[in-house]
Amino acid sequence: MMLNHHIKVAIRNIQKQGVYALLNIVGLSVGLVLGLFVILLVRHELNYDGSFSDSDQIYRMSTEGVLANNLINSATTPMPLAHVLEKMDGVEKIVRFIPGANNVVVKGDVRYNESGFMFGSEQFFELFDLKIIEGNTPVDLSSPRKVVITERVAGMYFQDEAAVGKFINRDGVEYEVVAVCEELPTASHFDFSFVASLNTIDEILLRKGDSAYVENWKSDWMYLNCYTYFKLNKNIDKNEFVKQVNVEKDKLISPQVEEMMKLEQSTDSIELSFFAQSIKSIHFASHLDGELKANSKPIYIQLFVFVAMFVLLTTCVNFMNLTTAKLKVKYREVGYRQLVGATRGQLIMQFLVEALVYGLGAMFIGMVLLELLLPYFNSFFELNLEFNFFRGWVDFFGILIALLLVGLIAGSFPAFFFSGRKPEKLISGNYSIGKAGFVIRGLLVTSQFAVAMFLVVVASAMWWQIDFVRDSEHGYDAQNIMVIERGNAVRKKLPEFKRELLQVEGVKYVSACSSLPGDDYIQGPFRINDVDNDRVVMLPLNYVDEDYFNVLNLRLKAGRFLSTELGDSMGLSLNVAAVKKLKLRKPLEDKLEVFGNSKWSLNTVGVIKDFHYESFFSEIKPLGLLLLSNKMRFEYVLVKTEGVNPEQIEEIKKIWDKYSDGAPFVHKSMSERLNRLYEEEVRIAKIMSVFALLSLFIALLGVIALVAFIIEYKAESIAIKNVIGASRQSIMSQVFSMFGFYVLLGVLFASLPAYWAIKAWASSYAYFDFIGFGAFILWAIVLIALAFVVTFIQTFRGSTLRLAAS
Amino acid sequence: MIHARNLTKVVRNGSIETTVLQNVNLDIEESEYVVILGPSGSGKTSLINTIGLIDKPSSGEMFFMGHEVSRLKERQRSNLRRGGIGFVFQNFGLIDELNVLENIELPLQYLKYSKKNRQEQVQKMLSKFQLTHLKQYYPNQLSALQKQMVAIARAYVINPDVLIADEPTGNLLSADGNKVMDVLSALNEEGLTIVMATHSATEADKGQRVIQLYDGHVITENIKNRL
Repeated sequence: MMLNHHIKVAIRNIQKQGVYALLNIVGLSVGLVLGLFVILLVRHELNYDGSFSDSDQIYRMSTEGVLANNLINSATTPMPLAHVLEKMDGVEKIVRFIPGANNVVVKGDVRYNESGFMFGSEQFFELFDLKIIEGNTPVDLSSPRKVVITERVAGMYFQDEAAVGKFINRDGVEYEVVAVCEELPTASHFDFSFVASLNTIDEILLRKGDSAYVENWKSDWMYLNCYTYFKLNKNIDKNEFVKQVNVEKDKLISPQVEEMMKLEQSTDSIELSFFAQSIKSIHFASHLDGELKANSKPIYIQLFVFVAMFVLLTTCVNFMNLTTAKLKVKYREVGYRQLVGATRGQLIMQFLVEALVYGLGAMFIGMVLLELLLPYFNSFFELNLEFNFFRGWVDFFGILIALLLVGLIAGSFPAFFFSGRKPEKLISGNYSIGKAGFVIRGLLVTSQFAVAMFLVVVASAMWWQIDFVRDSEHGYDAQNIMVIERGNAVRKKLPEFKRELLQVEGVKYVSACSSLPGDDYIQGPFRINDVDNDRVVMLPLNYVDEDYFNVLNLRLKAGRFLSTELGDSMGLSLNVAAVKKLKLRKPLEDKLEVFGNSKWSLNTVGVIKDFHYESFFSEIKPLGLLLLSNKMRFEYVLVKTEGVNPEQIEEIKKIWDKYSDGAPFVHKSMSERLNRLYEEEVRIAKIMSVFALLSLFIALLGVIALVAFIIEYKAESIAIKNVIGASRQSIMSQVFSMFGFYVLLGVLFASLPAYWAIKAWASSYAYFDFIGFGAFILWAIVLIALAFVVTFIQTFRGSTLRLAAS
Repeated sequence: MIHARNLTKVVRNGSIETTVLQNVNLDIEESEYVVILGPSGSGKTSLINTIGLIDKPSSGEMFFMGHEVSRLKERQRSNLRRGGIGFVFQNFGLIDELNVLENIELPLQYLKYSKKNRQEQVQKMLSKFQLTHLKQYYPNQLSALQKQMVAIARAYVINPDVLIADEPTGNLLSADGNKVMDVLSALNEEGLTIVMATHSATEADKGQRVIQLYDGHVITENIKNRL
């Protein structure tokens, strides 16, 4: 079999090539590892929520429209929407759930602060069919105070004991564990650790109000208070279905809207409609208010695919360059093969097989590397990728096909380049490749440097922007602020708690608030009736105590800060953006009515300068700050200190333990919280940086190959120049001058696409700081300098060898 | 078997044209041992490449086994070469990655002989050229003489119509050169047509006919030792 012969020759060639073979395999391995990593990454991103049996038929209902002059684009829906869905043909299952607030869950002496507690309706585990590890199926969530916990939670609270039938307590409610389920895959657009029966919420709400309040909460179309999912029959057209849902919804919602308008004597319109999102598309493409997790952006996927393709291509280019570097030897060999009877097809096959053998070697090394590095990749990039080469047919064949493609692309150039030569040229040693040959080789290096330049510039721009959002003026001072989560645990004795904290050395101010940057702020409808007209506006709100302003060092534009002493329980602080949106001419005099309850009106006591209470992704929006009453729940305690030291934290913890009724002490710095707003960006920037470094490595391998080729090709002239006394520097300059232009061309060529990519990426930011063209120039210089250094080393080594040979 | 009429070969190097063969006429018959003799630069290699269908003439006619080949494309010439012509070069032309056995087997593989056939043929060659003990050796482990013997065995294994040897002793010591010449003579005695290029008059004496080239012209043609 000729194939055996080709494989044998390829292996022996690799052995003989030594350093070149090693460089070739290393280059291919690096490229393949990157390629595989990106494939895993993209697959991970695209396969979100694909693990449920009915994933293709599961949709989330979301809301859009106008409510009190505010555009609504929300992942949440009103509770009664489910009743509309129930009546629709084609709906096979419906689930509503409501994520619970961060709270302490207690089982005996075991207590943890839990953020993954949610309330789900009866069919939760039928729609999201996770494996039930303990307990009966179907899971019964029909009655209140039942809960399903995940395997991890069962281990935490019950260790090796059976969990079903046992009880846990959250916020004073005892829940019976009815089942233990497997963990939700991390590639899901939501997450949970506990799912309690949804109707438990009725009891919880009853503690806050009467049954009418509960009923209103459950039936009001104006409350976007739950997430609604359903399974749609395959035969039903989704778009037609959604149209019908909106028609049916209008019949129910219109009377409520009309009644409200009449009551409030308002002319503002309320328009709500609903749309369905396939759950498999949510992570990839949905960016609504109230998303349950930070979703991905298509630009990242596009960028990754682009990067993977180009890294693999540059890897192939590298292979071509290195394979053809030993031109002279190859030429003769091919010539002799032709003369002993090899056809062109047989020669092409030989080169392709050689490329595949290299590819197999590189793939093996690449897969071992990937297996070894994946845990580190996952940890470094905060991912949870899995690689199942030998466990999944898709992976197995996918990788084999990728290998075949890489082998074919990488081997094609040497194959066609050599096999197409005439034997008399090959054996005569007259192997001039002509100008076109050099240009092609030069362009290969151009492509490698273009990719490297593109990636280093884009990665640099990302880090530049991340530094900008972290370091720039937020309109408040985030330094030295400790954020204690689940602050409500000290609500009953907040004044005492604050007083005691202020005794701790270095503690300057202590404050409580309901929301922090990065949270979804609650919104309240306000009505303004002045000379302009009558209008209703939704305003994001934050309940804070009077020390909030000092802790964040907010700046006043007019009036004063909220004050308990001055009786500001009905007072309000607005930011400048809110004043503009509300079109208040005299903000300190105009009164704002709470829409729906005209008895309540608020006085604006001060206007504060705008500050970034959300991330830099969005423009600074209007904000109202209301004074926290002693009966109101709050989420955070903020402690402003002069500096942070472990003793101080320990003292604060002691005081917390004294007042928090056993709630765990969970704290972070404000800076850490701010950084979390950009963690997705940091993750992407890290990935891009690694890609950039590796593509630079591959580009430099390309330079080594090209220099090797030039030295080989110009062997005689180099030897002669050496003999007649030319310095190595002059030889090096000659070599560099032969391809330096192509490096420069690559660097220039990449600049415009890099600029476009940065602009495309920047479009997700409301505030963006462009890295500047100086960085482009700087990187261009660095890349050219690196190419020069590699040329210097390679030429020095090559010319020494040539001298010895001559 | 091989007939050339008014063969002319012009080589272009940029704007410079050099006529390396001019109006060469020759006839080589089956089982002949023809030597092309000439100093360096006389056009020996050009002529031998043309006869061996490696290259084609710029003008003139060339017949190989009854086929007019002067206008054939490389692929067509390659088809005629395959199995029809065996080559021996001054620098041996062995494939470094293949051992002796594999080098000899290589043309048979390209010609798609069956494995059994290949093994038989290769064994015959190893034995004929006394290379059996070297069959696992690689070219870099062989002496120059051994390399050339392997090259001859590889050229002969396909049982070619003609064996073309371009300065086969050029890289050998004179004693080794004589051995190679003896082998070629022996092959010719078995009926193999041989065309050899050399600059050595002594070696040329081994052939039956000597065509002397100078500056691309045939200046003499001596018939010697014709059987």
